[in-house]
Amino acid sequence: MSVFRINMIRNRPVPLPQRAAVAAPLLFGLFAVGVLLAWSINHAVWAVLEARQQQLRAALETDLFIQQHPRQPDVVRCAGALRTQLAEAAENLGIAEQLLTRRAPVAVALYQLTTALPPNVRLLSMEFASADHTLHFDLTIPIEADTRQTTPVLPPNEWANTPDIRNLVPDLRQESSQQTEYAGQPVFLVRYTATLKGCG
Amino acid sequence: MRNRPQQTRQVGLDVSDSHLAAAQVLLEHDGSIRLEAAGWSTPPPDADLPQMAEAVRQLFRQANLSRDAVCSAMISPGLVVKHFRHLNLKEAELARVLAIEAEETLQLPTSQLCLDWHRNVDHADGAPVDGVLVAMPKVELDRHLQMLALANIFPRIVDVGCLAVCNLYLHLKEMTPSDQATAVVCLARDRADIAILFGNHQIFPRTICSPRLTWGETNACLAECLSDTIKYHQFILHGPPVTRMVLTGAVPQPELLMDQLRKLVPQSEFWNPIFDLDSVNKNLLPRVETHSGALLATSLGLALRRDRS
Repeated sequence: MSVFRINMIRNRPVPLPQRAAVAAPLLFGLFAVGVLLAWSINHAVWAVLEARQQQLRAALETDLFIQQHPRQPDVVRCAGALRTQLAEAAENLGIAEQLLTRRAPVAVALYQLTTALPPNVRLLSMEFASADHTLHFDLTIPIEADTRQTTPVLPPNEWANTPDIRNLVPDLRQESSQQTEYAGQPVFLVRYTATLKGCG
Repeated sequence: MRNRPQQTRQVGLDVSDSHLAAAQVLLEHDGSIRLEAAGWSTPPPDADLPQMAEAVRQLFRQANLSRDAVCSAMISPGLVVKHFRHLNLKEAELARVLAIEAEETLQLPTSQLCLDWHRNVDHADGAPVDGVLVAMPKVELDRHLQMLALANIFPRIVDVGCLAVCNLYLHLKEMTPSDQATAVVCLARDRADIAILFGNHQIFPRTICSPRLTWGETNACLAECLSDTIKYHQFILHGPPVTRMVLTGAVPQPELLMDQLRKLVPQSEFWNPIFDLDSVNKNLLPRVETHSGALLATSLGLALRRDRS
């Protein structure tokens, strides 16, 4: 916009203080970039060394594997085959687990019922209908000689007080009862029936 | 991305033995000019370098001026502003010729000189080239820069006062027709910078100095020198006649002086450039509305410089 453009310092360099004012932020920026670059290079070198060591370790382990498993072509294929086998085994295990869950816990129920019985009461027989999971069993309860007992005192309180029995056979009930002899002793032969729970 | 013009802020600093003046101008993107801050002071008589630097520092502090972009002008006894006219020379040849001319004028080798020139452009092929040669001893320029550096100021441009006033005049006023000329006179205590503007931004400059410390009450010496300059331009250089004269700068009693100058050039006027600016800081206005505002003419012209080369 100025017509007359006389400048007596046209060819003079910028004075040092002015250059310093501009140079200081530039130097700071340069230093920051340098530090960042050094950090990046350091990071990259460490990554390369780590990769190299990993590669050496993998080669050693491959050699060792081939020595130990001469029939296997290499680690990768072997790992693939093992992975497939593992998947198949897991699938089979799942099927087996499903089957097991569907199985009625007869042994558990029997153990719980008999453990809770007094020592003179014996389990005479047991039947399990797997179709409807119905459990039938017979108990012999000795008749005391000095008492005129006509009916057995059943069900035993121990069954009612045991939570596992209540869970396994919640509908445990007496089906029949009769007086008979067992091993030359007068006993009540009591038949119980229940439906087992906990079957998948 | 569009290259959008930005606001630019620059301070013009006019340094002379008799006064210091500075103006901070904001040039808006639409070309309008706003005077943001200004100040002037009188340095101690026969001040040395640190004293001048202190005066400049105080001026910047009191007027709250920015030091980021400063364009300065200096007046010194060694400063030469003279008209040149030579045969049509190439730029390199002209540079050498002007260096020799500066050597002859200042009686110093080129290595000890600083020079620059403005070439008038309104010439046909083969015609002589003319323009303005500005030269000064390198020592004086170094002294000026050293003084500013002491005040923590590092100017972008060191210009000449009379050309800065011409730049301001051309920016704020309209040029006279090409067959007429305008004399722009910037007055200092013992010195007057005269620039006769004519044609397509052509210039004939002249600096006159008072034989005494001031121009005196009658201003007879000033009027005589002005008359000589105008006649030299018209009759020796065959320039168009001066039909208008504008007086600005440190003018103690403008009314008295204008009466004398009107006898020389009838259409003479005292010019306070403050009134031609687009806007002025309202806190500053009461101080610059008087004839003191004309003191800022050079510094305003310096503050308009937006180029470096």
